Amino acid sequence: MVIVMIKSISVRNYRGIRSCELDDLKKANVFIGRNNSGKSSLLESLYLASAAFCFREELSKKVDNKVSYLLNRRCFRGHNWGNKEILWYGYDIEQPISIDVKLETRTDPLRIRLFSWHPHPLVKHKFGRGDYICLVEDDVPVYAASGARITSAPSEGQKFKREIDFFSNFKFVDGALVQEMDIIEKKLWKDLLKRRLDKLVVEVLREGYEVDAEDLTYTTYDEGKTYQLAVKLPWTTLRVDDLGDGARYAILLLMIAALSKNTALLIEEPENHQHPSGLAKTLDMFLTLVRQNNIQVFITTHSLEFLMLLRKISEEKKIDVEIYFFERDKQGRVYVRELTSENVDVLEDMGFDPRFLDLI
Amino acid sequence: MVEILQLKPKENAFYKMARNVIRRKLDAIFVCEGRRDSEVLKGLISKIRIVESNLAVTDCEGKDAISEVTMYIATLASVSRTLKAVSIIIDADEYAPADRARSILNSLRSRISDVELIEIDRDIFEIRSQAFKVRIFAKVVGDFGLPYERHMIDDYVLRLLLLEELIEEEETRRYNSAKEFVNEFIESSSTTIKELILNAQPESVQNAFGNLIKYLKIVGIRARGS
Repeated sequence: MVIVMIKSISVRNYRGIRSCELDDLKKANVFIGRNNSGKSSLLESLYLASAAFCFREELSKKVDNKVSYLLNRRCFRGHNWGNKEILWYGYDIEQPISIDVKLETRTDPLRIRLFSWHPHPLVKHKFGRGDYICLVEDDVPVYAASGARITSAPSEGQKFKREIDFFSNFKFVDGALVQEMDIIEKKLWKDLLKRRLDKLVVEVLREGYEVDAEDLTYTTYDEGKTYQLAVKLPWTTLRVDDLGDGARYAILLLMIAALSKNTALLIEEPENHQHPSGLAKTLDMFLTLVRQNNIQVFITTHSLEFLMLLRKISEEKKIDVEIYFFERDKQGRVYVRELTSENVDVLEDMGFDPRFLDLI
Repeated sequence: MVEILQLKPKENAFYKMARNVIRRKLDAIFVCEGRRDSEVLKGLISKIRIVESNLAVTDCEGKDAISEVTMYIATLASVSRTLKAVSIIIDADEYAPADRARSILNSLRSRISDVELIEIDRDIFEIRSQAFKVRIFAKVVGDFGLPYERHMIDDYVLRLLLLEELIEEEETRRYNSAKEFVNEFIESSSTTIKELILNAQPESVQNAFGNLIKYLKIVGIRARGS
C-alpha cells in the first residue's frame, strides 16, 4: 500500500515565519523551542496548506473554513478575510504566503500560494499552464513545478486521490478546540459508536484518569433540546463537561485520532492540564491509533516529560520519531535543528536540557 | 570573575538557564572524566582569569569515561550550531597520553569514520573530522613525575600541596594514588579544591598546573577567536 507522508516543508511569509525549511520529516514530528520561535506558525502553515485541498473547517462551530479558523484560533475576534494581514509575516502582504510541500509519493513539490490580492481565499483564477494546479472543489490555487494538473475530473482526479484525501482530512487539535466539545461530539459521536471506538476512550478514562467509567453515552439533560456526551459511572452518569480539563482533552484527542485515517494531525501542546499518568495512557492509545490508522503527526511541546513518554512509547510501537528544535532570528528566519532520540538522551545525560539548545 | 556553568546536577543548570543567568551563548563545553576534574577546572579559571569565554562543564562521573566522552563528542558535534569548542579532560590512568587520546579516537571511529588525531603538545590533542561543526580538543591529565601507577588530575593537586609545603614528599608514599591522598587531605583540612587553588601562590599554581593552563589558553583562544 502506498502511504502519503510529508517529507519536507518550506514556508515563507506566514505569521511568525519569514522563512523556514524542514526536511526529513517522520511519522511523528515534535517541535520544541522557546516561545515565539515559530513552532505554532509551522503547524498553522500545514493547516493552511490543507485548506488548498479542503477549505471547509469541520470541527469548529464558530467558523466554517480553515482560513477563518487560523485567523481566529489564537483569540476569537470575529476576524475574516478583511483582516487577512494577520496571517502575513510582519503584516507585510506584498509577498505571497508560500508553502512548498514534498510528499513521499511524488517527486515534484506541491506549491501552495496565498496572495493578498485575492478578494477571497476561495476566488477562482485562471493561471497559465505550468503555473498552477487549481482544485475544482476548493479553489485556493495549488500548483506543482511540473505543471501537472490536479482536477476533480475522474481520470485526473483519481490519479491524485490519495494526496487530496491526505490533505483534506487534516485536523488542528489545539486548546481552543476543547471549548467546542459540543460540536465535536455532535460530529464524531455517531461514527465513533458505529465502529465501537468509544471503548478505547472508556479504557483511557478508566486507566489514565481514575474515572470509574463503565461506558459513554450521548444523552439529553433538557428534555431532548440538546444532547451531550456523558460518562456512565457505577452510581450515576456524569456529563463530559464536568470532567477535568485533562480528561476532556484526552476524549477529544482520541475521538479525532480514532476517526482519522491516512492523513495528518496537527497538535499543539498536548501536555496542557495533564498529569503524567493521564498523559502516558492517552499517548499510548493515541500512538496505537497513529500506527493503525496511518496518521502522520506534528506536535508542538514545551514538556520534557511529554517528550520522554512519546519517545519511549513510540519505540515500543515502532513509530519513527524526530525532534526539531526551532529558533528564530531577528529577521524572522526560523532555523531548525534535528535531534534524534539518542541526541536527546545524551544531552540530558550530560546535564543539558535540550529545550535550551539555542545556547549552543 | 568568570563563572562556568556546571551542567550536573542538571536541575541546577536548568534553573540557571531558565532564569537567564546564562544570557550569552556558550563558547565551549568542557567534558571531564570526573567531578574532581571539573572542580580543578573551575578553581583554576577563577584563579588565573585567562579565559573570557562563556563556558560550561560536565563530567562522566561513575561511567566509563571513553564511551561517555565519545557519545558526548558525537552528539555535540552534530547538534551544536554556535558552540566553538568541545574540550575533553581525561585521566592518563596507566597509559601514555597519546595512547589514551587514541583510545577516544578508536571509540569515535565506530560512529564517525574520518576522525583523525592531531598532536598539539605531548598531552594536548585535537580530534578532527569533516563531520564536526565544532572543534574538539583533548587534554590527557596526570603528573608522571609522581610515584604512582595510575595518573590523574589529582596528581596536579598533590603537586600543588607539595609546592605550597602543605605536605611532605615522603607522606605521598603511604598512598596508592594521588586521589587517595587528596581525598584524605581535603576531608581532614575541611577545605575544597577551589579554596586550595585560590589561596595558593600564583607560581605554585603555574608550576603544578602548567600544561593544563596552556590547554585552557588554547581552548579559550580558539573559543573566542575561531
